[in-house]
Amino acid sequence: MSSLLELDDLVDNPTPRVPVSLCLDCSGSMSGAPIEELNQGVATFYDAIYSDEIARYSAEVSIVTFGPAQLETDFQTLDQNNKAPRLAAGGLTPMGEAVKISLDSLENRKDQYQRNGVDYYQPWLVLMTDGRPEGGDLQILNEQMARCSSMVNAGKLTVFPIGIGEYADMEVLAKFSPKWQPLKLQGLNFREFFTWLSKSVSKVSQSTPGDKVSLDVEGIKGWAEL
Amino acid sequence: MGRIVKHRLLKQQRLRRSSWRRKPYGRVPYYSSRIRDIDWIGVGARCAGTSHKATGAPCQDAVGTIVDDNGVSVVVLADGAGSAKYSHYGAAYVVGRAAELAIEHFDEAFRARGSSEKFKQQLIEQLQIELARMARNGFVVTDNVGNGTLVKCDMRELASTLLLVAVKDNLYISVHVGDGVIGAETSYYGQKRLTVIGKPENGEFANETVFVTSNSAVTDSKISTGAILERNRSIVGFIVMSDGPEAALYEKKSNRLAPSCSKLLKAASELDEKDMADQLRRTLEDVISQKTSDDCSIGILVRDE
Repeated sequence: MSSLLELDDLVDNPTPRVPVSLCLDCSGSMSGAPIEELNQGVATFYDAIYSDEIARYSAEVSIVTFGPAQLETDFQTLDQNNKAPRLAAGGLTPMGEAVKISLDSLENRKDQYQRNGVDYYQPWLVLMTDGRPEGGDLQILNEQMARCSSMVNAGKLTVFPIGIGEYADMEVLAKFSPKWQPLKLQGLNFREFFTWLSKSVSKVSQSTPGDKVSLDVEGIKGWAEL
Repeated sequence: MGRIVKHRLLKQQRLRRSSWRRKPYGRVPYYSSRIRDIDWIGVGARCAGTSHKATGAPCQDAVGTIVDDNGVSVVVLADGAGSAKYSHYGAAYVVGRAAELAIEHFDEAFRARGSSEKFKQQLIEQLQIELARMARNGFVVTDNVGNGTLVKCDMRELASTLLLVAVKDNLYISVHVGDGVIGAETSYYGQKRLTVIGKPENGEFANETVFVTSNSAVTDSKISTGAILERNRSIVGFIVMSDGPEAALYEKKSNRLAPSCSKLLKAASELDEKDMADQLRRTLEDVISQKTSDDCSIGILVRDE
């Protein structure tokens, strides 16, 4: 008994994408061990996603840093570039401006997906800081808090606000996240966090219509102070 | 002056009445339901996706065809929601019952302008009522060794999509709830052409879609009706597929079916029905499953000529 079709008879549709924006505090206070650990954490994340057969073509990672606010890498799958950028610490903490860059580039990417018939999953925003907003425009900060909350409430975005160290302003982080309380990283467990994040992204990339992807709550204990 | 106005009004009313008479079946002209000599062949096949095989989960797709029951032929497919525990039971129920309802109520979709929307609404609401009853009263779930247990659950655990095409005489109805694709091959002056009748209805995100059990199922679903034979164009066959084969046989960006869908329709019209079902299943398992890890199912209704 033979098949009616061959592989050449099939069309190629792009893999559905999971956009993940990492919005990372790289201000002067992150100098030394924190920025080193953060760099190793991001590299761990890149390695884990790249080694996952589905997530490699599905997860699109963008990195925005603040101190000053800038787009380090725009959204791209790791099969195109699996080398994590080397982040450096310095400057103040313009958190509002950085979140604006993250959300603007996310909207831009979603437009590109829609124009090109690419399916995508709910985007994720990871916001990490070791302090409080400083050196930015207060109005922009308030606008971005409201924008982020409204997207989360409308089911258009998942936000993970993470505080690093004892000076992280958890109240400010909470204003970006109406559904989840911000979590505090255990010490400098960046690698544990990014390993957990890569597993969660991988889970989403394999979900099908109707799936409600539940996060590994047990796994959070490995990196967060609960 | 008053007489002129009155005359114009009368003329407008006459026009409205006459145009209504000229289009007895709504928007599509040239329908004739009197053609009764079209025979159909129905075939369907399914296979569990590689992700389901890896976890031992059952195939949650169901597909079925009925040919010439009371003059109606039907192909129906339902893709059970991955997240719903008993969706394969819901999908199987939806396939069987939607076919019965389409056969029983086919003519109601063509009674008057707007009848098709009413038909779709009644079909979906009836399925929802029956699925709710099934969930409430319980149904028998069999384990690997064949032992049955009565299970009661939330209706959402029976969630599935619905793709249906029914034909009678010269008319067809297609109803589409959720993702997957409904397509047709038409012959236009002898040239064959594939068209998409029902494109996938996902939400904004890739893991969102509408199910028969969704609150928005009636508003977020589509029905289309039309003629099999028209002046210069005729429909050769219909194909319905779940979102597994959709990844391999439907180009999302251009909203087009892969030309190879014609090969499947041609084979269905030429091969013995059992051979065709076997080869279609083999094609899903060996070829199409290389493009997707999801369950795969395809149903075909093709003219027997």
